[in-house]
Amino acid sequence: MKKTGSLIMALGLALSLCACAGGEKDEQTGDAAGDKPYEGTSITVVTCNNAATRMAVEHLDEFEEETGMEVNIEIYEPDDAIQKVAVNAAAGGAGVDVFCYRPIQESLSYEENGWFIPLDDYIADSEGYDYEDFFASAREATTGEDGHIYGIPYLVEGEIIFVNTEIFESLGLEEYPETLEELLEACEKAYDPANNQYGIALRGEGNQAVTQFSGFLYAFGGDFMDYDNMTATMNTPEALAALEYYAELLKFGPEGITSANLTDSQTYFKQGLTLFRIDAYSQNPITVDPEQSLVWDKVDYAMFPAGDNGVTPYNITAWAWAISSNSEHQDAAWEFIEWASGKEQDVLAALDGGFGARTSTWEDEEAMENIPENLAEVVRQTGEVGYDLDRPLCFNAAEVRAIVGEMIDAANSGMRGDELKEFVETKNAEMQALLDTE
Amino acid sequence: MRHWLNKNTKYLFTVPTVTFVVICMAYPLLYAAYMSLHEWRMSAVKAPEFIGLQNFITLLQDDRVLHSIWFTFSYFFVTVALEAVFGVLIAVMLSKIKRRQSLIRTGFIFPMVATPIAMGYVWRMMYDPAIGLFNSALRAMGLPVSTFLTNKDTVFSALAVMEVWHGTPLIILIVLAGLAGMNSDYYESAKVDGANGVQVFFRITLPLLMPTITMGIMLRGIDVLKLYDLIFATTAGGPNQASENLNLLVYTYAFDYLDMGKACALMLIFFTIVLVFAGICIICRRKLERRLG
Repeated sequence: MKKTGSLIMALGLALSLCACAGGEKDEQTGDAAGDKPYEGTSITVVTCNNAATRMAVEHLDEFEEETGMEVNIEIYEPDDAIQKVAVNAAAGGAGVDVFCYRPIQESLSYEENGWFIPLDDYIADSEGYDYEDFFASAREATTGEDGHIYGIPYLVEGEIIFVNTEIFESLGLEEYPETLEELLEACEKAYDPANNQYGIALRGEGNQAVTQFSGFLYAFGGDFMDYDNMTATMNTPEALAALEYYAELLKFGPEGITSANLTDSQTYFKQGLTLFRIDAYSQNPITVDPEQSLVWDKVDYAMFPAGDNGVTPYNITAWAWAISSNSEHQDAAWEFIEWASGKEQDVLAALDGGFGARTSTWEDEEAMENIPENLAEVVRQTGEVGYDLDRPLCFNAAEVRAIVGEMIDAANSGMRGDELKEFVETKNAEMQALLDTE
Repeated sequence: MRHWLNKNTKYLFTVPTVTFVVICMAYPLLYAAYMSLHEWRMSAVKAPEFIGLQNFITLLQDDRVLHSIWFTFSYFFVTVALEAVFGVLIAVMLSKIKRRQSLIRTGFIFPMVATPIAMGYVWRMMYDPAIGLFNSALRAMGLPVSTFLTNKDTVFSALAVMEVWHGTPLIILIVLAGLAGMNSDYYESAKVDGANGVQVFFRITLPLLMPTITMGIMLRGIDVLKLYDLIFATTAGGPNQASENLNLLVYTYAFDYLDMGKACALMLIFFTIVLVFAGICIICRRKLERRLG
């Protein structure tokens, strides 16, 4: 028994030694550095699901074969991806090499915290990359306060109306709503809960709803803050009117819509429950996917309706790639970004229904062939009039966004008039206190 | 050297455990205490700035923090009390079943082994006001639908139902183990004295089980106090922070607002509360054991 035990221990030790030796051996094999410059290098990419990521995953083998590096792409829900980046940064930041971020919400804090590196030199040394090909607004959104380029934009999105054409026709409606009043009327007409049919799918939960609420806020002539003197402006009559309108609109949504997030609002529309959905056009691929949507062949598109202040949807650079400042493989990380955001990959993403930030892709008819004509026209018009912010832009963006979310929730809970005004004044003061610390 | 080794062998064997405790428990606690006295927005270029007790003062004056403390403890009292009651009753009932005992017990234990996040998403779908199972049933019966998780008046109850479903099996297991270890002499004496089932349960079974039940309450209590995954998967603290407990708020401060100082201060407040609770449970259990001899 004693001898058997010793034998097993010895065998185990021998096996573990072999594994270690095997590991070292793997690192030493491979082609010469010239053919595959990143042989033996492994990088980690943290991102969320969109066309650019899908194309990166689909063609990753070719990239790895060419460069010799191993790329681990981790795909998360948007908020989870950002939290993963934050957790990793708190732990020193070496575990992630490339990450995605939201230029509006994260760029100020990431730049101040030194979480990502300037990419100016990499861009300058990359022949044929054509950085000027990116939209001017996208380049501006990913350039830091210090003038350095910190991100490469890869997804733009704007606020539009998705229309369920089957419900639209069944109601005998003739024109898509062009004003906020017409939108409210159409939603009311479609609202028939007894038959599980509703007017609109929108993000209802306060924090989640801030971005979609922004279009309505601008339509009433309001804004989150005055950026010139960093003053919170959610207590203006225009902002209050926008809050009340948004809450009135949600009344024509499915039960529980006041707590709906992006996925919930997507689900309601895909299930064929609502006449309209207002959200970003970048979500079209999921909406028209036959495997995920019951209304895949019954979708049309319309411009965000006009308010007193005109047609004011947001049109923003939603996501960008960046390199972690603590990455031990920054050159390899840039190699990946250069490939993933290059013209070829951008065209592939467009064919997959994505909306990149390269002008050349948008001007390429073949690249745009999978985007419905109606949608392409709405996207083009949204790009012309769209606002480039869909949430407050400041260092404490997450916390300020949450405060605006509380105001939306308050209106959704039924607060109106003086009661809502008093609540909003208190919250606006909280917002101001945060802005004063910046 | 050999003499030193022989003399200190018993201490050497404790080295792995002590190392584990220091690395995994003492160091993070001390670091959190250090960080709670500083302001640090997780910057890689700016060092933490010492601000004394300001984080604690700010937090304890914040309505959101006070609400999360209230939610955490009211949720704990309601769910643990229900789990204790249901757990004891079901365990006593199961102990009387002789046929297919293992199969029936496994069925009751099943909710405990379900992954909380997956369980949370499933319950969320069942609770969905528009397409969920529960409201579909209510509609079919001609009853008005409920908003369950999406209404601040019903979210507490909706979450409590899920928690009790998930947590009762642990109490059942613990009480079953306690029942198995009980001396049958007491029951025989009671039978001789003519006690009925109810009297036996309240005068013999329950008092003898109290130390075991207290242990179960302590274990479940700690789980419920530090709950995160179930709430994150279902409501993420909503609607409008109505179901935001301390653990979720700590995470929000740390990784949404990037305010590590406040997050650590809140975590220390939380840790102190849980420590006090665990201490009370242990003292109660010892007193009960002494009383029962």
